[in-house]
Amino acid sequence: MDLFIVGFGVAFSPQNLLYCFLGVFLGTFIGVLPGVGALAAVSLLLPISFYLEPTTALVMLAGIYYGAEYGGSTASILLNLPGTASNAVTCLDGYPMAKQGRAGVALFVTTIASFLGGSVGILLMSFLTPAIMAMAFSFGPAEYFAAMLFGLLAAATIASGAPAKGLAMVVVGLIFGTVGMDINTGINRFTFGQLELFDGFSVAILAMGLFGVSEVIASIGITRHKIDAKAITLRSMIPTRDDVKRSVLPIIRGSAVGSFFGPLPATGPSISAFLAYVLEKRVARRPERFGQGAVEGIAAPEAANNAAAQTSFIPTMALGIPGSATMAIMLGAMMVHGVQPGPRLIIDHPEVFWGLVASFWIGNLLLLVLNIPLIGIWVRILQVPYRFLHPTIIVLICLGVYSINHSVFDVWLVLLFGLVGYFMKLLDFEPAPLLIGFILGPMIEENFRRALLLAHGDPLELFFRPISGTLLVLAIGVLVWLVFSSFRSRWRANVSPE
Amino acid sequence: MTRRDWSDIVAALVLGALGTYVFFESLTYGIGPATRMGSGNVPMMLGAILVVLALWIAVSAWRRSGRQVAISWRPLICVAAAMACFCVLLPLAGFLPAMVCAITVCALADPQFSVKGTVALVVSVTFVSWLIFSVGLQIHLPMIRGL
Repeated sequence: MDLFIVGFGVAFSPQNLLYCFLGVFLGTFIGVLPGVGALAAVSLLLPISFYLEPTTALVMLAGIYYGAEYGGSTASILLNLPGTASNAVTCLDGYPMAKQGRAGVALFVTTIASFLGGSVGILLMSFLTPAIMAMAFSFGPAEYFAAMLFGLLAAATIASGAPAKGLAMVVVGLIFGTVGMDINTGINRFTFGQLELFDGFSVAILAMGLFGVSEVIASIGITRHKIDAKAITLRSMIPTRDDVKRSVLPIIRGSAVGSFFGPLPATGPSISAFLAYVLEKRVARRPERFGQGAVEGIAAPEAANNAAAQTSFIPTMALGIPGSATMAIMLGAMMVHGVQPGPRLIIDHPEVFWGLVASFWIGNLLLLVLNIPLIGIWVRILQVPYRFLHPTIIVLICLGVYSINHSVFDVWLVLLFGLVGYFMKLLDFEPAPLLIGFILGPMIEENFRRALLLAHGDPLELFFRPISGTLLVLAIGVLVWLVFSSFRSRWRANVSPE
Repeated sequence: MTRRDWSDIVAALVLGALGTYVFFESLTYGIGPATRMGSGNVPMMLGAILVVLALWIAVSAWRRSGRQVAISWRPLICVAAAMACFCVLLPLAGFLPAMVCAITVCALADPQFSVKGTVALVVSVTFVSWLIFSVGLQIHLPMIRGL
């Protein structure tokens, strides 16, 4: 009920409506462009959001995030290049459909699937988040420490390659998080005597360097296909009766898969989309049709990634523990505005939570309009030469960072992190675990210190509390699995002839 | 292909060096007992864990073959130079010179660089940025300093 009384009241204010539209518009724009992900866009807009009301800021940033999930499929279908990572599976059947002249139908089905998946996700979010918050009220420092440790270890598994690399990135993120003055003792840590570092550095700086600058460097000079903009008309988007019949069940199954994996740490939209595709292929009566333009193969993953995009807000809002790098930025944005996510969020700031949920409904409806009648705009945007885009992004990053503290020191830091991020990309080190470690670092340290204080300095005592004990055992389980899986793959590599 | 995964070995060396530095630097912040931890306690543990992980990465890289890493130097240098331009020129010469320099240098990164397109880009992006940041967000950005 609060959704209607508080939420829509907040979300329908002219300012929030405007920024919701701006968010989903920019999100679709960024999503359509291959190579620039939602993360880069959210971090680019982060400094600007500091000037807005907290609710408005979150409404806009969230709009970019789920808007990119809609837009990303457009590039997948038309160019065979995923607009964002979670739309990669959509290429498999979306591009063959475009080659058969059915691009319009593919775009229509992905938009509808996105909308339905997103709706299921929002519904779940508005019921589950308050329930989890009620449960988390009994959480003490030990429970938070254990939950965050579990989240961090799970974040390390996002890394596609070696688990040691993912873990190392989490630890580097935690170390970056300690930079600045220790609030308990007043000692300055790793500041190198720089006044600008006494408060640590903003998440915007790290995110823009790691995701913005490094992505621009990596994507300059990549050539793209040409597409025919005139072929996509509204008439060409009408699906046949057969298409509709084939899409219904995959959309339902995809929404379920996405809703389940979205809130879990480290899975999120990309893995949900992939799993939904695999599931469809398993249950299909004729799996050989997949990869040759099967409509099920685009409906299920698109429903899944949008459901996951919405449900991934559940742990972020209810516990303050982000499951992905984008959620980590969202959390950072909330804390900059003095809004502490966690069990007290709905009580202390009902307007933030319900306003955000209500804006999701509005945003998803806006996206429906943006992606079906106005699809032509996005198709044309795909034809804008990239060489105009890169310098624009770079100067917007510079100005955006400068605007946070009016200091060029921060811009130098972004450049440094950009170079670090580029070399990380080259060497297959994922930046997402680093960012999650950075956000969670100060909180996990604080809770660790407090938990040990309450436990009279005995770490074993943390295992004897039911919730923290279970989570710690789970965390150790993840760690053992990571070590084991890396040794197993090496053992296999040694056995197989080179 | 290289016989050992040299790129990972270099990465492990960098991580190991960072971990070692963090470990010893933390010792100067005070460790303290577990009930009242000092500022150095948690970073010290993180430094130690990072060294262990670096060893893990290095050992597995030592025993497998790697691939050659191709660095795209032109975008790398141009983007870095563009941002450096911005940082140096904004406080010294003002908003206009910083923008013109940053956009032009960054545009040089693309092999399909054209003078006409870049001029149009400089004019439009500078104008839009001025609208967003100076007019919209009220950030103090002097056009040209020293005049």
